[in-house]
Amino acid sequence: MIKHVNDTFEETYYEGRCDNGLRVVIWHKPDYHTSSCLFAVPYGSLDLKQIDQKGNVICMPSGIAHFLEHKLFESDHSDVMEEFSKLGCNVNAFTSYTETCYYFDTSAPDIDDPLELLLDFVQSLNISEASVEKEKGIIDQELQMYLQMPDSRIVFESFKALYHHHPLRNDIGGDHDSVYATTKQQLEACYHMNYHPCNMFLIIATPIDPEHLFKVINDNQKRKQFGDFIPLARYLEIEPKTVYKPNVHIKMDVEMPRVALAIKLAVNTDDIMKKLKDEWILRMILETHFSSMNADFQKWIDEKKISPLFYCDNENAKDHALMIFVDETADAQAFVAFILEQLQLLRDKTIDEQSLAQMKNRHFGSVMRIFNRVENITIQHFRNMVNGLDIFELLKLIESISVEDCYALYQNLDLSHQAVIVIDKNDENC
Amino acid sequence: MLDYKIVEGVNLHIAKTPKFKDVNIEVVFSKQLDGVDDVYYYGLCQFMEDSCMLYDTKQKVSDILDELYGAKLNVKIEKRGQLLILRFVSSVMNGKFVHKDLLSEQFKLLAAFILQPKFYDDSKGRHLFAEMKEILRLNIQAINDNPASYASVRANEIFGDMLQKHCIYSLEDVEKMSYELLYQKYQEMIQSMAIDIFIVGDVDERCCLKQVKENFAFTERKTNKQLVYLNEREDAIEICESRKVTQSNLVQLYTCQKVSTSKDYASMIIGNGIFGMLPTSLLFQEVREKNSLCYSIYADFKIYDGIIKVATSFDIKQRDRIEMLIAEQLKKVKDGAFSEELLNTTKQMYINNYRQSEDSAASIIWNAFRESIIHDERTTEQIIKDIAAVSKQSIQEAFKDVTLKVTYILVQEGESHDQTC
Repeated sequence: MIKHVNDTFEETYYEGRCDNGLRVVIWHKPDYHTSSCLFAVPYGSLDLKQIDQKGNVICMPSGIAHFLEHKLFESDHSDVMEEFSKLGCNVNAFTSYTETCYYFDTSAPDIDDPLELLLDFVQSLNISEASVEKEKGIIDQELQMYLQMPDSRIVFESFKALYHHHPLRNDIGGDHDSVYATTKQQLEACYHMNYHPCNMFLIIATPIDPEHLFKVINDNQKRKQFGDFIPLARYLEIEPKTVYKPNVHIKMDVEMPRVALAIKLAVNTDDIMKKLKDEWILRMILETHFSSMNADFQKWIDEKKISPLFYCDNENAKDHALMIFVDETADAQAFVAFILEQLQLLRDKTIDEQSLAQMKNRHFGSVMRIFNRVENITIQHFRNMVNGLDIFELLKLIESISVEDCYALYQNLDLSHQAVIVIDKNDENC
Repeated sequence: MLDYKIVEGVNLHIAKTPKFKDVNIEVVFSKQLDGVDDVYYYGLCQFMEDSCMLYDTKQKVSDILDELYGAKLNVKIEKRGQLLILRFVSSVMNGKFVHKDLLSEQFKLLAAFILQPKFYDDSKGRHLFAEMKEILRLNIQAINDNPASYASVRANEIFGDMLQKHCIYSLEDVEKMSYELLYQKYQEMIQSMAIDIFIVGDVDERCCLKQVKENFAFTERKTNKQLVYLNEREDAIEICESRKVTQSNLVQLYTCQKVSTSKDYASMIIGNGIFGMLPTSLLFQEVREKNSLCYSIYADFKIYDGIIKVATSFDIKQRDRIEMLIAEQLKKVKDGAFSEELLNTTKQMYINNYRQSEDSAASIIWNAFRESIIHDERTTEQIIKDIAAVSKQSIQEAFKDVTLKVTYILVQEGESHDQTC
């Protein structure tokens, strides 16, 4: 294993790779009681269509990555959750747009058994038709739960309004129809195509000796056989520049209407580092202007241009980029006009040296804070690793951003592809 | 944890640990919960978190926090048992990483927000008061817009007793607020509430003590903090209400005659773990895993209130089955009809959780606060010993008084009418 030491942060991690291709990272946290282990695959809800190197396209129902997580977690041969609990470990899993993660944490002084259990249950799938059918009701209730939350609903509806074909328009869990259309055979196919050691990451943060744990992992992997790894890429249909629906109006049982202005941005480069840097640049520009860092922010609240619950966010991912501005207001039109006016003003202003330095200070602290919890270290390291860097390199990337970079990026942004989403009160509330 | 008495009613607690990259300082004000004018304490949180005399605009607050490397400063309100707690929570990077004395800056920052709020400029104070009311309105609307939290609040209201005082304020309460009374509540907070200051991080104790004395000249006060309370209700009641939601929500409240100071507390905790707090619990296994009736179901033992709360979201057509299954699982715990394996697994999980809590600054602070009030001087190892000693019989004994008192169902509209079921 290769040892990485960062003197500034007083942190050490070890990096290694098993013969079968599994990448392993172990952060050594000798002052902690807790060990946290994350076994992850960069396969999420956006990967419902995939293409191999021969050009074969494989299509699956939306939400299949999430369905697979539910089923994998619940092996038919044993109750995985109970097995972990017997060992005194909290175990869980989640699926996002781009990843599926399985993890446990424990204060046990010896984690050999739960670590092997994690590797074993994620690296074997044993499901029956009956258990797949049984899971559909549970997932359907989960989807219904999110649908009745206005704050998550408005974000989901914004993605749906922006994209014609891109899978971001589907909820992570899919919908009622796609869940009920999913079969055992499809789940098995997805599993075998994506859960190969060459495509997976094991990240641990622990007080236990890293060399010992790496041996446990390596020995475990040597006992298993895997087929050849066939790399798959996300398959996307050509996405028009325009938005799918410029106006969306939804009725819900809410006391205060919500509005979102979502802007679809062009994807201009395949360079992951450039995308990541651009994401941070845009984040800093928006955070500087649309927050209390801006002296006008108080005036906007006083003049009711925005409410104190206003927020904005941006994303510059592999194959999609967007900005979103969300607030609670009954006057959606005025809110949208105000945000667009501000975005136009930003063309001249963008960001100054002082504000940029302030943002860098802020994010230096937020990165430092990751190290306070072992659970945060594992997930953050995984996400950075997928992008080809570690947490310290991310800091360097943020530090490298200049005012000129910010100005250049913002001047070239095409902000014309917009969608307005309104969640309004039902006519008759109880 | 090192404890110092600064003056009567004002105490300092320091946990020196190299674990964390930042230093966490909390100044905690507490008083007995009487349910009178509670909206003002929610208001004080908003008012005092926004800005202060020294940093009198949002921009200045943002600037100073960023100067301290993205420091955090929040004011939070909590109601636990019969206590109302206001927490000034700050987290600043340990200065050793940037070779600066950030600790004294952190104390100055806290002192500025706690001792110099915007009341001392009438015009600015009244302006902020108007904004604070708007935020309070939005916050209550946000709770009402989330069906699960709305159902939880309604169940507490229906139960009554101390639980009713745990409910958040109403829109009418906000409308009636006066600036003068808000200031009076602030004065009461500073002059008469109990104060506990907690410091967790890689710090020098003598330096911390000096900083506390220099920055916070709090006066003596008489305090009598009582945390736990046994909620009671004579009759059992079921209420159904309807809203246009996609899923129905069920909240059940049970009295149990046990709190964190009860001698069979460990048995109650483990019994509830078997009933519904963990993924291995009977409720999760039977209602979700075996019958696919819901995504989430849990039983939360409110250890300072003497209450077990069961909550789930589901399709209303399955209501009878769900209620029957919940009752069956409770009966299994009362009858001791669960395996030794489940008992041992549940114990393992709680022992693990207790040890893990020592890796969280927030848990370290809360545990110290709780211990100081209920004078619980048991070490983690002693608590673990108590858990290990729990038996099937002790759980049966602890659970014998668990009685359903409130069933509240928020029904998908069109499926039922507003009525007492």
